[in-house]
Amino acid sequence: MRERDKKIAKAAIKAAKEMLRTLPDDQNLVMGREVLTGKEVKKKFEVDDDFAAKTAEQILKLKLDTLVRKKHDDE
Amino acid sequence: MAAEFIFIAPRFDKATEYSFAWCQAVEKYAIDKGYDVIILNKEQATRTRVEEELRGWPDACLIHYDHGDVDRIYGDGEPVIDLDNNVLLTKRECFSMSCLSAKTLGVDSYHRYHTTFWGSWEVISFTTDALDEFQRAMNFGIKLRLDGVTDWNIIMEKTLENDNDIIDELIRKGKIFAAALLRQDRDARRVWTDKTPPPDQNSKCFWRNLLLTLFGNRAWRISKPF
Repeated sequence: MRERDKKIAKAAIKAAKEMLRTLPDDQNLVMGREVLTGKEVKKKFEVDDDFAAKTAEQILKLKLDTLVRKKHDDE
Repeated sequence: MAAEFIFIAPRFDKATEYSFAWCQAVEKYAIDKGYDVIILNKEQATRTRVEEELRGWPDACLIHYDHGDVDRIYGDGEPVIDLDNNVLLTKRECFSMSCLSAKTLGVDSYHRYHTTFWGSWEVISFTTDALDEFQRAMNFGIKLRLDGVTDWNIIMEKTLENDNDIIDELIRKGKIFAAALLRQDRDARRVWTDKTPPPDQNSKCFWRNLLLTLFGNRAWRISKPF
C-alpha cells in the first residue's frame, strides 16, 4: 500500500473507533438477525476486516451527509 | 366491520423483541384512531392466518414488522409472504420494516400485482442505546398513513425529513454510531409507487422479456405470458 493510502486508512480507522466508543459496552447493535453487545462490536472491528471497512465507511458517509445537508440548509 | 389494516408482528428472537414493541405502539395508535384492525402477533403470525386474512380483506393495508429477505417476509419463524403467494398483495398498500424485502419481493409485487410497497433495500441496523429514536424513525411513516396521508411519496418525503431531524438529535446527544446507522437505514428505504417505480429489470422468463421489450413495464402485469 502506498504511504498516502496508509495515512488515509489510519485516519478512517481512528474515526471509526471513536464512533464505536459512543456505543456503551452493555448496549446492543442489531444488524438484521445478528445481535452484538457494544463490547463485541469493538472486538469485531479488530478482527473482521469487512465489518471494519463498513464501519469506517459509515462514519465518513455520516459526516458527508451532515455537511451536504448543512450546505443545503444554508442556501 | 371491514378491516382497514392488517398487522403482522412476530416475536421469536432478540431482534424481534425490539420490533415487536415498536409495532405494538403502532397497533395502539391505529386502535386509538378508531380503525378496524386485524392483529397477528407472535404465534398468530403464521402463513395460513396471514393468507386467510389477506384473502378476507383485499383492500386492507398490510403492516409488517421485522425479519425479511430479498424475496420474503417472515412471520412466526416462517415466510408468510413470498413469491408464491404475493398475488395476495394485489393493488394493496404494504408497509414492511424488514430487511431487504424492497428488493425482489417488493419489485415483483409492484410489477406484477401493482402493490405499493414500502421496505428496505439493505439490512436494517440499530443500536439499543437509542431505541426511542429508532422507534420514532421506523414508525413515523406508517403513523402518517394512519393520520390519513394516502400519498406514499409524500409520506416518504416527510419521513426523510424526520430521519434527518433524529440523526441531528443523535449527534447532539453524542450517539454517533446510532446516527450513522439511522443514516444508512434512511438511504436504504424504498417505496415503490407509480411515481417512484423500481428500476427496470429483466425476467428469468424468455417470453416475459420479449413482452417487456415490446410493452415496457406494463408487461409485468400479464399474469402468465405462455
